Amino acid sequence: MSVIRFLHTDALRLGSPVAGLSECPDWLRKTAASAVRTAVTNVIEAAIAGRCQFLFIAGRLTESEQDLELAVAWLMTQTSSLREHGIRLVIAGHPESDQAILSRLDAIVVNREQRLDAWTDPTGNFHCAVNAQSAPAAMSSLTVEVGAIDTSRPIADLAYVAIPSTMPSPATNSFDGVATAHDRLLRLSAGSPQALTPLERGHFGAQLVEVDLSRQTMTARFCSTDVIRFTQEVVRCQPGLHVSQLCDVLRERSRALATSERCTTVVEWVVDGQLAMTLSETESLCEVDLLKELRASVHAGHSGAWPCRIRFSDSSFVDLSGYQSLVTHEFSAIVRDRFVKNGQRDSMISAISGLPLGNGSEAAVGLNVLSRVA
Amino acid sequence: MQLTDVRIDRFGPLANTAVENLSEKMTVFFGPVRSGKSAFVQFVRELFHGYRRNTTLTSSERTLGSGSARVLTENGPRTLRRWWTVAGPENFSVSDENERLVGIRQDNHLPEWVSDDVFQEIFSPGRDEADRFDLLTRLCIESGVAGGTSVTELSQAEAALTQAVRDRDGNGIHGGVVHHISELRRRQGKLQGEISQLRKPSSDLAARVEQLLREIEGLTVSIDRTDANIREIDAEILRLEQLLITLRQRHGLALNRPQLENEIVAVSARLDAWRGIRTQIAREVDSLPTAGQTVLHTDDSVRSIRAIISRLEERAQTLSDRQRINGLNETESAQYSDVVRQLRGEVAALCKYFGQHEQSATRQAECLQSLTAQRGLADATQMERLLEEQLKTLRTELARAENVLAEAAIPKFTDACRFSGHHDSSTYLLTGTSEHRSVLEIETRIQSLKAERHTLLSERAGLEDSVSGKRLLLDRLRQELAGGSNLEQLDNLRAQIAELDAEVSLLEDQRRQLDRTELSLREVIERLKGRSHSRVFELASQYIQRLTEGEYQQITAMLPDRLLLHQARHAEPQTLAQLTHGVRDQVALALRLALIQTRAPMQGRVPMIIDDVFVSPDDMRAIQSVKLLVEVAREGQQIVLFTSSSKVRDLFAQHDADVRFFSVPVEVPVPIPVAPAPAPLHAYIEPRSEVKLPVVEPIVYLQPPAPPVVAESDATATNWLFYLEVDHGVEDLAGITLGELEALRSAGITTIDDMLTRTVPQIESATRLKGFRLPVDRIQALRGQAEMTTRVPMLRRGDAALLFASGIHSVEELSKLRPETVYDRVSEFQRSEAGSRFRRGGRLIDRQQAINWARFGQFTRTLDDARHTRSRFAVRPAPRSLAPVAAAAVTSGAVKTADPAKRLRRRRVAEDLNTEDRRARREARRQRQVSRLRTNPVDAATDESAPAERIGGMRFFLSRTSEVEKAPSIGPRTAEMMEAIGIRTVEDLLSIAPDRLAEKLSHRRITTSIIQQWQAQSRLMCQIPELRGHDAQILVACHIITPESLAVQKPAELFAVVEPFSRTKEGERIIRTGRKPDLAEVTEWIQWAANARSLRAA
Repeated sequence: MSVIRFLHTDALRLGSPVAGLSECPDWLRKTAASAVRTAVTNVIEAAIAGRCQFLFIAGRLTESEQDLELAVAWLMTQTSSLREHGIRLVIAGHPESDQAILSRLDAIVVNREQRLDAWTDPTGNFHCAVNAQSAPAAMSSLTVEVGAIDTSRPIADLAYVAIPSTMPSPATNSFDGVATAHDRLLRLSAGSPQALTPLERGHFGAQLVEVDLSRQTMTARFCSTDVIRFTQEVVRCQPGLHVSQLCDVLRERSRALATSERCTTVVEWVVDGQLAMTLSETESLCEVDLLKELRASVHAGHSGAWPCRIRFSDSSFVDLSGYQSLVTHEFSAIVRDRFVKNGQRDSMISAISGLPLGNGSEAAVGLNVLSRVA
Repeated sequence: MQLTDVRIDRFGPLANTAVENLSEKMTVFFGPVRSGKSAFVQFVRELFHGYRRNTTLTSSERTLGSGSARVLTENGPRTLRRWWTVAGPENFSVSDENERLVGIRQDNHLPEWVSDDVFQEIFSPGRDEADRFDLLTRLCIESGVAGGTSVTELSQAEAALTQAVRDRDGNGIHGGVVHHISELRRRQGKLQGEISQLRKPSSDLAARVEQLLREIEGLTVSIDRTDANIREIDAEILRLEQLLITLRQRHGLALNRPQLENEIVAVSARLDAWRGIRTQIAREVDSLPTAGQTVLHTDDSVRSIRAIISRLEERAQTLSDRQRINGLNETESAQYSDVVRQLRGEVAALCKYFGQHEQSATRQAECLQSLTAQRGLADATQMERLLEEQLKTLRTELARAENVLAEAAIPKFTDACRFSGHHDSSTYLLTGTSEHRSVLEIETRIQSLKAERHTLLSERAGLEDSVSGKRLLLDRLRQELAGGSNLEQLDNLRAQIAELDAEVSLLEDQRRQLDRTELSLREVIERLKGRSHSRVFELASQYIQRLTEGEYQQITAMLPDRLLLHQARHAEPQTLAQLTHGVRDQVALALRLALIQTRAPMQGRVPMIIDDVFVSPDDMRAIQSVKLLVEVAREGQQIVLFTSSSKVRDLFAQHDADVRFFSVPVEVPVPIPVAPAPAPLHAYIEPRSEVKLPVVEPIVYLQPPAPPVVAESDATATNWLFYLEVDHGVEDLAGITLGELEALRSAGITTIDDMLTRTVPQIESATRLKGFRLPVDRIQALRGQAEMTTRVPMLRRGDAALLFASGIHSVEELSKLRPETVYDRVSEFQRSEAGSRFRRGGRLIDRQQAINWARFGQFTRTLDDARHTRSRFAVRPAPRSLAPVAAAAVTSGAVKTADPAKRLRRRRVAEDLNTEDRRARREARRQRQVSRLRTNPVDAATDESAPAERIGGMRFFLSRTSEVEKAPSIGPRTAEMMEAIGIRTVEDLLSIAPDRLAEKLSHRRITTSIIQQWQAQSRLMCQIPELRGHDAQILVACHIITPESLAVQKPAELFAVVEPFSRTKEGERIIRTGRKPDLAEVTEWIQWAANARSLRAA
């Protein structure tokens, strides 16, 4: 049976830190410090577990050129297990100036305008070779190359085009999480093994590609390798929810997010709804205070979800109608005027009567200050 | 409250003066000039509020005064009495209608808001007060909020504002969000430093690795070159050999001399071998016996043996016959024995003969060997002869072969052989074929080429050894490189930086929200104030319409304290400075009356005493003023007006006012000499020479002489020496520049008290509104210096500035610090670069100085005390308007003898002569001095106004920690895009790979080359002092991307590159409206580049 399996991942981004975590406990700090390395180790383990013939890295190993030496030194210790299992390491996307360093990895380096041809002999042994992209590929061989979404089809019968990107391809052309080649061509981004910023939300990992040369079929299945996952959760509050109950709601939602995966979910909460407040000194809508209170409840044990930010949506507001302070009313009016002047959901602002809490609003801090001096 | 009677026993020029039954509405006193009207008003002021510093009375006049007033209050009639004695404090008492004492404290029954200043400025205005609008405007703006819930709301808003500012900026002891952010940034910088430190060995090793790589590359090139040379030599040898073969074939001669020689050598060797063989054979022949001596004929031996055998056969036959025929007896036995014996003898003979035969055979063999040897010798001799003949033939042939080739037989050499190691190639080219006259030379050449080839091969082997050694070293360095730091350490440090970054991001959000909160709360405060003061201005607008007969329609206030007057025929409102004196008086009257009327319902009425102002007989609209005053008086406001004009008197009389005549005999004051009382000096009083004495002598003719400082015997005077009092001018602050002074004065901050009563944001906003831009930290420093010098005794102004700059920002903080701590903080600051300018004579402070400061900090006074007490040794500030005149008088040297009137007149005349010139010069000088402080809304957004980092007298307009938006060519939009991907600082921009950044930004216009240019521009700005953003842009556009390359440039050559570029479209886009660089500027760039710092130091 002439089957070729390989694992495709994009830029490893070794040496880059996971951002967006502040005042986190020790366990999360340690996890974050080693997150990228652990994710790369997971990639290697996935390649071994998937009985792959080669691991295809379509991107740079590091974001900074200065870290390449250290990254290669670390990767040398990790790729020994690949060699033990007969898995070849293929690196594509690095500039040719890095070849001297990459040569220490005992890897097949695919430069620009080059591709990797892979085939099996009649005895089932795997073979691969680096050829120019302009040369036509041999029959019944697999061509793997780095390209873009709009590049022309490789000169090969069966081709896999890796599109370098930090984010994995959306599974729009897949069924049940498995992408299947149409017309014997598959273009996919595997994404980096680990997300680095809160903007990089969702699963991160690698594509496990299986190619049947005899049947000329090709499928790719995404497998997660990340250890810290960023997400944004919108909490829709019931109208009139008191500020003091907000943390309870968030805590319940945090528990619901807890999973059995060995992955920590870092959540950016977006609160949407109408809140009520009495301007007592114990209540605060400040993000720092809310985070502190929420973290205190999840600090004792890792429940799988860690809050990194708490924001309010543009449509959320706090109702201060029960508070008779002239200062508060003036403050509220000024904030509303500015929102309307800036064109931030003016129709929505005009429809509500409370103090808008959305992005760019000083309502939370202002109310906190007013409550403290009240 | 209503004033009914006033009785003055003695007060200045007045004595035994009484006015009684004052009207509850309008009372007008008419009196001539110098009739004591102003003294009467002054007495009423001091009756209510006591001694005022700015009184016109001398201390001797006041010390003997006394008087009383009867007022109607809500609690009934009260008699207020105040008297002054020579040595004791002033006394005050309040008694009821039964002469019963109901209060001896300062309960003057005036509303709380009517302080001494308010009473003087609003309720008893004279000529001086009529021109002042500061307090009046402030009160008008704040009026209406002085009671009820508005005060609470306003105070709450102000407290919230203070709290928000404190949360953001801290309170001096506890740092705010900004401080926290800077602390986190500092920690980030420290971690970055650790990363740099971690990379440090790696960086060195990387350089060495690079060097080794270059060396290996060079050696590889050398090897390749050697290989090429060897190949060329091989080709040359081949060519020569082919040539040789060709030549030999052409001449049909065995011209191969080496072959001949080799053959000769071989034949000679064979000859020698044969000679050796022959010698050996001859030696063997000599050693062998001769053949004749030992010859034993073989036939004889055979015949002998056959005879013996025959005899033995015969005998044996005989014996057999006998034995068969005859029987055997003894005899026969004996015979037989004989026979046997004979046989035995025969056998023995046979054996003996056989032995002889053996010897004979041996000898025969030896003989044969000898014969063989002799024959071999003969053969060897023959072979030797043959070989000698062959050798001879070969030598002959060799001799014949030498010099057999003709000159024309050898072709010319070409320059095919050009390798460097071929030493004779040039010779070939130079001499052509002249030196190759024979095959021998070609062979010699081939031999030399082979020798050179051998040398080159040796060199190549050496080079290969060197390369292999260097490769080994390279591997070792790479291992060291990997071992110097590992990825785990780097990840840990970067994770900490990222965590700090996230915290900073949170705090930055909070800071932005606090900024917006501050703005919103300020607007809240303005709205709250606007709600209330709008009524005052509404009423004042009505009054001004009446007073100006409709010419002016409205009075408004632009915060914080600027009045605007809206004229009916002009769209643009006018400021007070644009009004005539008469209109200003009408505005002042309208505002006062509106203020009084607005506040009266809530806070009660206070009698208004007008000292001959607001109503002038020259004013065509005086009638309107009179009507308004009378109308207000009819509404319940008691007004007492003093006038010296009979016309005014008549006008009021026409409107049914209570008009009286005021005439009091004025006594000429007799100065009472007061002996200076010895002051109880404190232990910490500095020597008298240190005290700045007032310069009063030169102005002796311009105003009454100021009393000697130490002669004052105020009860409120303190024995401590304070180097600054609240009534001193701001120009007395140490280190204040002329521009700052101009800014403060224009904002109405002329005295220390003005500065201390305002907050820093207020001062900043006030100066900003006047068109100046004073940095907040500078205002804080000046205000801190003022407060500390005013409150801490014996603290000089420069010392206060040093303490503030050292981080001791308040008196309370100083009082809490131990002397050692004060010394440590101040000396540490002085050791720093920023504190170097505070060193005195290059030395740090001594410990005793710090001990003194800490001890003085224990004896501070409050600001309120500072306002009401005065150091006995304090310097009384000279009148500012006269100070220049006084200074000029001091320099003239003839002050005391000159007539002051004449001198003043001469001065005026002199000024009039060239007033325009002097004014123009003064204006130009002021513009130059203050222009750098003026705000420029256009430039504010440019990098020209960016805060510069000053190191060693040179400014750096960019550092690695600067925000990326400060970098050249980076606009707000680009900075926003970069921030979204985590590029926030210049350091971030410089450390990321350009292609990586371009990929992340994924903007079609931001390419890798563009980002490389940005990085080069930022590097230049970080490293080169004084270099601006557009300079860096020009330089990079001219392909000068390092300070080193700029420093080695020659000005003229660089200008020859820069100048054409500045005329291009791209250059004009960079320079915009600025000045194109000239040769001088280009020269400065090069000079600055010589002072460049390393990027790490940026």
